[in-house]
Amino acid sequence: MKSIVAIVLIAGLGYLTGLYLPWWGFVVVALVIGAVLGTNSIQAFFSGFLGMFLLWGVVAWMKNTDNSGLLGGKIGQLFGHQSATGMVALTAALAGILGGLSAITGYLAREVFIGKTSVRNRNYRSRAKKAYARK
Amino acid sequence: MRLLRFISFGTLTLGLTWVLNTYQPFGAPVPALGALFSPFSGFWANADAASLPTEKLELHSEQLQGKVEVLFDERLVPHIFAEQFLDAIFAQGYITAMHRLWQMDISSRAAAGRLSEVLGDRTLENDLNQRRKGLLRGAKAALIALKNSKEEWSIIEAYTAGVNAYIKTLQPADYPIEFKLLGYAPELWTPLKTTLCFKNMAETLCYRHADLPTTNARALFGPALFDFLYPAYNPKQSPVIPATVKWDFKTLMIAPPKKDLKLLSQIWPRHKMPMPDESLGSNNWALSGSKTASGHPIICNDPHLNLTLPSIWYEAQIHTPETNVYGVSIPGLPGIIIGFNENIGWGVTNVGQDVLDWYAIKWLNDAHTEYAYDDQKKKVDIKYDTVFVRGRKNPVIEPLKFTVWGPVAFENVPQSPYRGLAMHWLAAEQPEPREFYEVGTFSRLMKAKNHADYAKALMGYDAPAQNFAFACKDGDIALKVNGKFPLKTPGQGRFVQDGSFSSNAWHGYIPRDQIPQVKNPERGFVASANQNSASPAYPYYYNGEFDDYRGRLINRRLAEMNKATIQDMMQLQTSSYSLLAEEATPLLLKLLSRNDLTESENALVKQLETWDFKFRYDATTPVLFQAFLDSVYTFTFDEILDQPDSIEIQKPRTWRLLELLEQFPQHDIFDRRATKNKKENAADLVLDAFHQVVREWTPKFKAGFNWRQQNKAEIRHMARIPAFTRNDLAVSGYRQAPNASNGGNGPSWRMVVELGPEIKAYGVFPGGQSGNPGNSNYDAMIPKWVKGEYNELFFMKNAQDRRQKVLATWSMQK
Repeated sequence: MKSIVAIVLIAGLGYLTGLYLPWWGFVVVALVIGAVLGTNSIQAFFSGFLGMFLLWGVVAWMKNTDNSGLLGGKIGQLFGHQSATGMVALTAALAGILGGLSAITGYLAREVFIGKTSVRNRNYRSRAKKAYARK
Repeated sequence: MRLLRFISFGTLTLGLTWVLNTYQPFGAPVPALGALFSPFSGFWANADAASLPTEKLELHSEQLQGKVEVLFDERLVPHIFAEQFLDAIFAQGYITAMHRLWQMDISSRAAAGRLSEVLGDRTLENDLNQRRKGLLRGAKAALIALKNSKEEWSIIEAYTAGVNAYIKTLQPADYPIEFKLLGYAPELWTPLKTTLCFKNMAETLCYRHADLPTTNARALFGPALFDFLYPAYNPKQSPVIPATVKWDFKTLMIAPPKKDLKLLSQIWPRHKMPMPDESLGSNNWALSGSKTASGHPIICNDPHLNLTLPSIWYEAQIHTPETNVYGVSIPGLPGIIIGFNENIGWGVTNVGQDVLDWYAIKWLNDAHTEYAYDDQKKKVDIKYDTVFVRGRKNPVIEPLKFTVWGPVAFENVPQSPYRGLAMHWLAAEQPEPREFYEVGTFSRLMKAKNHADYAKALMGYDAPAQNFAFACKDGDIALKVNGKFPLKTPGQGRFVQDGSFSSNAWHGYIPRDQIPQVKNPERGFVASANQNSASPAYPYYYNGEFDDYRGRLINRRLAEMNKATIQDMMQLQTSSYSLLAEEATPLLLKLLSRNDLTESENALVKQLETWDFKFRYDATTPVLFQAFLDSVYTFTFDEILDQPDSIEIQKPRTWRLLELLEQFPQHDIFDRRATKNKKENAADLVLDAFHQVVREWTPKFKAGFNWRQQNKAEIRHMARIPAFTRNDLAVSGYRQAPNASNGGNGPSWRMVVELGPEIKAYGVFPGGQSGNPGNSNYDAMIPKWVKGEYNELFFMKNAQDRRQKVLATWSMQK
């Protein structure tokens, strides 16, 4: 469930940053979502990967379809003679890999700086008490 | 452990983001891939879903005085209806930028020598050469002059405002694809950029010069043989202005130049500033009503240029209270360059007259800062030009040396007694103050109603000099070889001149009313195809280097024609028939001794004998002819072609080779250097040449090699991006035929207009209105152009005219 929420949030917020921010806006989105909703590193990677793979893949696929593959095919010639569909796949893969890496980084950051439990379940007070008791 | 994992993944993520956000990361020749692939702002954003973004658009700008409506037809030609002429120009700027912004940017950068700013080291040498030639300086000088012409300045300002109104709407996602691939952003347009686009045109059309290779040829052969091989005038010539025109004006007298014979007997090195291709040229003609089937005058024009995508030309119609004009414009320049209105039509071809001369500089010190000039020591003027180079921290600051003649192109020619070489080029000069200049010429032509308006409009035009053909509804036709021409003594500027005498300068300019021109000649037509402007009887010296097979053929055809139709005009423009082939083939075959040929060789001869002299794309005979002619040429002038690559020798004209074969078959020039023990005459040489062709080409002929594969007609993208280029086009044409297709060069716009009560106009250019490779319109007209078909131009009578479909209506106002 959490993974699906993460994927949807990454894709949705990634869409908004895509419209209004530089292309790398989604890297920040994946990082934050990975930190907040990540349960383990593999899950974090895949939610980042899938969220961004789907977002860039679908948007590129739609634009490519509307354009009948005209420009995708031409740009594809510059990248080892890819077909237009190949360029859609490459676009999706590029965002997926970077999204995944960013999400896993976010998850690991939480692990290092905050602890293994997810943010939502974290009980700040109890943790503070334990820390006090240890002293 | 956790920390280590975090640091590793963090570094990987950051590093990858950095790499994907960097132009040419680690020197790899790729743009910032993240930005390029983003489906929101990268190349996918240029993948247009429809040829136009919207059917309705309302634009407001403070610069507009009245209302403007822009209607797009199905080929995306904007039809601009404005209450004010300047508003129409504003709209032209806006719409042109929408379709061609990158082309405008790169053309002005190329002329200014500012390519390295965005392309890096690889264009630095090119940029420095542009600065040396003085294009940027010339454009700045032209700008100062233009500011004094209020009317023209307002046109340039309106155009600039229109372009910038468009640029200001742009988000990075909207940038043309080339900006994204090359990783830079558009800058705002300026009047200077417009004058730079004019200089760009001047460079393409009048930067040709042959002083150094011609001097070398004279040094190599000696004066007598040189004169024999390189006569100045072809007796078969059919000049632009017919010989029947008499020159009844008082000629200005000029003193003969001072010569230093040492300069004429030395070899100069190959100069390092490449020239435009020689096979650029153009055709235009106008028929008077007496020669047409309809009884109305017809005007035709097809300028031949290095073909590019986005296309050189941009079609537009401009309708204002004072005029209704249609034609093609050049992105970056306001107004219509070739076109017609309800009364007149005009077209241009390039004039071959030499407006660039080289002067030898006698240095007086080792630092090359002082040179001899009459009895004085003159100091060079050193100007420091700054070229910013992408990827370098500091700009390149290049000291450029200027003499009274112009920039020093070679500072230290080892073989020369003078050692320096400077160039004087008309297009880099500051124009003298006058009522109006080139922009004014075209704005006046756009509004012209008769011959008097046309004649007045041409007075403002300097360079690149053009043959302006003209036809008017009232029956007048005319042609003027128009531009600023240096006044030269006979032969002046053909060879390198002595720069240490002020008397070797140009002697002013040919008075405008003494320039070759003709109105309503008896023969009923005017025509030009870059050949000599006038017969040798014309009192001023002419030096131009164009072969004239097209010109002679067109004059012959037009003279034969009666009751000419629009169809006839189209057939002539797209004809692949070559007069060179018609004259050379029988001559070569006459010299070729059949007894010495094998059966298969005789079969090839038969092929040539039955040829119709048309360069059809799917035929083999044109390849055979060209190979044969090339082979004869190479064997004949082996003296030149054996010279090292570091020096350039002017090549004799093809017409002279044919004349020599015909009239002097025993001449020594036909003795081949490769065969030491044998002395060949023309017939021996032709036989050797034919054998060589058979040896070399038979396997290819057997494989079905045809003219299309030989000619390699193609239209390259301006940044040479292969995926945006169209090649292997099935064009039937030849550089010495009216349809002057030659590799990457060819007819860049074909126009046929009949000026009757109802204007009938047809045109086509090889490309599309949209400059976006991601738009289906980008190369939409190429198939028609290849086949020699035309579009009926939608010359709208008013904004309600719907004889053709209107795709969209945009409005602009305050």
